Amino acid sequence: MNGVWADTLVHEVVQFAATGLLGLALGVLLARRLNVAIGMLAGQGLLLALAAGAVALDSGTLHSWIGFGVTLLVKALLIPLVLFHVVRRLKMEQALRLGLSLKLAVPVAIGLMLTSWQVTAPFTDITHLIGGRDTLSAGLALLLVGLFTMVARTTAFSQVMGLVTMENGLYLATIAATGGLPLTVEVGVALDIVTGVALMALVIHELSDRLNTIDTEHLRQLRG
Amino acid sequence: MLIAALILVPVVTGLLARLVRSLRLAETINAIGSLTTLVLAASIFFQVLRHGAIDGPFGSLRVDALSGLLIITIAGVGTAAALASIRSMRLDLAARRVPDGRRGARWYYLGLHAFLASMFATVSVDNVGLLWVGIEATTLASALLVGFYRTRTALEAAWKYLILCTVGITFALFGVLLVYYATLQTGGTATLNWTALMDRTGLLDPGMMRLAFAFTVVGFGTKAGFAPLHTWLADAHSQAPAPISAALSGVLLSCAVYGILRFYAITAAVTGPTFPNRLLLGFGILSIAFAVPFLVVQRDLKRLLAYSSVEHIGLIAFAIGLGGPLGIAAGLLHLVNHAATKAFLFLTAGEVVQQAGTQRLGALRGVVQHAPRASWWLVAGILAITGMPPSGIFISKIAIFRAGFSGERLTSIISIVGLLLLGIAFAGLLAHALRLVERPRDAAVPKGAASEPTSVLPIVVALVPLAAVTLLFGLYVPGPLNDLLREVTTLLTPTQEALIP
Repeated sequence: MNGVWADTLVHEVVQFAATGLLGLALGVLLARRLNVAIGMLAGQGLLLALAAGAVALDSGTLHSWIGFGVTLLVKALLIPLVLFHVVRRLKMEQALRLGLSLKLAVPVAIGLMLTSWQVTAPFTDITHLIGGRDTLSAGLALLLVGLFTMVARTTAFSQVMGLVTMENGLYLATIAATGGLPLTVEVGVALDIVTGVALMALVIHELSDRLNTIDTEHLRQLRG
Repeated sequence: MLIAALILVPVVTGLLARLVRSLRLAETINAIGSLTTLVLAASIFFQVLRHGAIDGPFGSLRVDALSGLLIITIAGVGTAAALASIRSMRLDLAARRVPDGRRGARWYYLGLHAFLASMFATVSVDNVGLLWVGIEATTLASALLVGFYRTRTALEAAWKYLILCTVGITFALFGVLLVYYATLQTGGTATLNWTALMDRTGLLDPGMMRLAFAFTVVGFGTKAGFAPLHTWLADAHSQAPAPISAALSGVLLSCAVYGILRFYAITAAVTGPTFPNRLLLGFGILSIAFAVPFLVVQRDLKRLLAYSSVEHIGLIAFAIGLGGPLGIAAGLLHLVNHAATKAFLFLTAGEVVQQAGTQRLGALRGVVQHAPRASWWLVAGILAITGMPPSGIFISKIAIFRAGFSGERLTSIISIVGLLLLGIAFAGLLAHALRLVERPRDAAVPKGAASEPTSVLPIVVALVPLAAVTLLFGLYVPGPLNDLLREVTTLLTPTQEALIP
């Protein structure tokens, strides 16, 4: 697949994925129930895989297909599964509801998205960005909204999901700017992320076992 | 071959130690494995010294002078930590502090050696993307060790460590992405290979590299303990078992500094040294300034040592930021000295804490009456870390400030501020040390596990070489180390004249 038609298609698919990712990042930030939030995180993984798949279809290299496979496996399957697994083993009903400690969450998140749009202005004319400036600014916005999720919500789960959202934003930006990092690096990063989430899940499990809470507000014993 | 073996031996050692049924056998495997690693590291070190950089298998492993310096440091501190672990684990088991008992102790050895392997891999890859993967892997490998005791505070520390360092390092990944993008822009094949990047510095876009370096410093700086991103550090160091604290402080922080150095070299060659120098100088002096008040008012022995690490990492960043061969060589010498001295300190502190049953400084008043030998070693270590001669720290501090005052006026002014801060830190640490040796007014000496059920041999074997290195480097810088430092400075500042007077 080559030529102008295919190019526009890839651009549109990547842009569609980027828009969807932004919506789902907002969803993860605002969700009231834990299971819904994890579902939306899995949705982010699927959209990311869609974007990677479009790039792979366009370039046709083995490398980009492996990138697509790894994304699908790690972001859309493994990470959500690990999180669902821990949720099922937690016996605390209260943990399943996510309180939002910040009333200004929506305006702040939208402000972050506008900021990302603003700061990527220098990239308007760079033509070889896949999905154009929109995708790059969406990647940056995901990074910021993910970080904000970690600050705005206090359950340990939200912090993990915010972190994964940040990584997703970074991956989207990588696809847009470079079509993907070298294969060994990409696989190594994916391995790190999935191991990291598994370890965090393990610590969450221990915390709920021993402290009977997974609210990070309660993790304040060590100071000074 | 040697490089691959260096990474594989700890992995195999860890797995074997976990798989065998007897704790004694696991301890033996741990000792043999770590000594083998040390021998491998030493032979790599001397090979690099004699014949220059070694290329490893798979095309992405390469050990040059800078890697060689880190490898020997990691192996030295790692071996000491592994040997000291034998006694420390036995004492913990006797005090019933180890979850899962002896099985938990064998898990510990697996974790420790996996942690060491991840650090060896980090400093042996010749690719800044894989370097990122390696540094994140060191966090993952050590997180469970930080939370090893699974107490409330240990879990809190492990959680903060995992989350903060992972978030921080995400920013560094953005830096990696920008570097890759910059090489794409040059028109040639895109690459993240460090050696190839250094060959191409003339083509890379300075604006992009400046941005990439800023992100990398924030990302890896979180891991190195730069203020104000250091908040995880004292928690993790104070909650981990003492040998792990020794490895965290001595070499894990150094691995993060190593990551920064690799990006520093590329950036300095692309944009000129002013921008990266200013950034490191800023983070360096800020870290020292943040750490000093916490040193003075500290109430916990291991947190005290942790904040001292923030101070010294700050000093290393400061030295590199002074720029030029003199600053970089002094910073790296300080990195080695700090690794040896701080590992020594954490190991002796662990011994004192285990004998006294507390790490609160208030309760450790006059501990020297109760646990004389360990306490005097600890006091000696504290004196060494403050830079009292004849310790290596003394020599490298002098070298750093000599570089500081030989530069422009701005660096001289910052150096004066730095010296003042170090003076306060010195007074604070000295006051803490004096309280350890004073005779308590009420004769209530701290009580703890008074009996010593296990042999002190492992910790003595671990401590003596570290002390010897600290003292030796305080008297003179050995020839091979000097040669290596000279080579590292040429490597990192290819355009500047490498001159160590």
